[in-house]
Amino acid sequence: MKKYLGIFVVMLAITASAFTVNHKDAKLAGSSYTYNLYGQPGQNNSSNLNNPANYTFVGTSSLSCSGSINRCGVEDATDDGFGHPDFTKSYTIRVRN
Amino acid sequence: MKKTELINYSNSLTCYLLIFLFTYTGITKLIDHSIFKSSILQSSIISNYATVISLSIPLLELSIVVMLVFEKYRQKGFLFSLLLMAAFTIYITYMILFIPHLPCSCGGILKELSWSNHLLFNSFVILLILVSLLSQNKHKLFIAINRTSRKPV
Repeated sequence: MKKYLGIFVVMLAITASAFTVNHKDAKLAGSSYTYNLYGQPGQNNSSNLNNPANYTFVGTSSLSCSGSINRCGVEDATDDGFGHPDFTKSYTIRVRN
Repeated sequence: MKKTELINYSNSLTCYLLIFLFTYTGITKLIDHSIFKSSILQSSIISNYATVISLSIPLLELSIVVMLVFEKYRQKGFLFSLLLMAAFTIYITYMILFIPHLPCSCGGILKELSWSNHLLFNSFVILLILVSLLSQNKHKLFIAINRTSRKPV
């Protein structure tokens, strides 16, 4: 009986993981990203603004921007699985405070 | 309850705790692989190896589970568990001390823990593994002495 206890615990853990993992909806929602081209030439080009590769993850807290009135980042975004915002989901644009 | 029985009981409990922990986190990391990989990519010190790490850690965790389930390899399972938990703890300590933005690379409900609580949890698990390993070695030594001395126990 004791021999099979380890296997029972494995089954229990697999069941627990199946119930507690939020698959696709849990993709780091509520993430904030700074815009890498903020204050740089070409910062307002729509191709640059809409390119997720131009954004860097900084956490889940609100962004604090200074400088010119341009996009400095996005908040409440969902991660695309590669450390960049998924622009097909909802997000909030952040400009200078 | 005899002391030896108590030690065996405590070792078994630690073993089942580790089996549960590593199965749970390993499976979670594989199911949510994109999130796990993404959180590694956000970590400046290991982001260059994100693909390798995001696959090797859950596979290593599940290999440890296999070792712990079979009594023949349990001692090795405890040793590898200790090494892996020590590596996690060093990483968490580094992140807490030097990185301002902390992404969570943990699996399932463990990501609800703060980084400081995670450090405490890991330290507690390391302590349990150390106690198990030391008590097993002590027990082995006791048997060896009695065998060589050929005196009835």
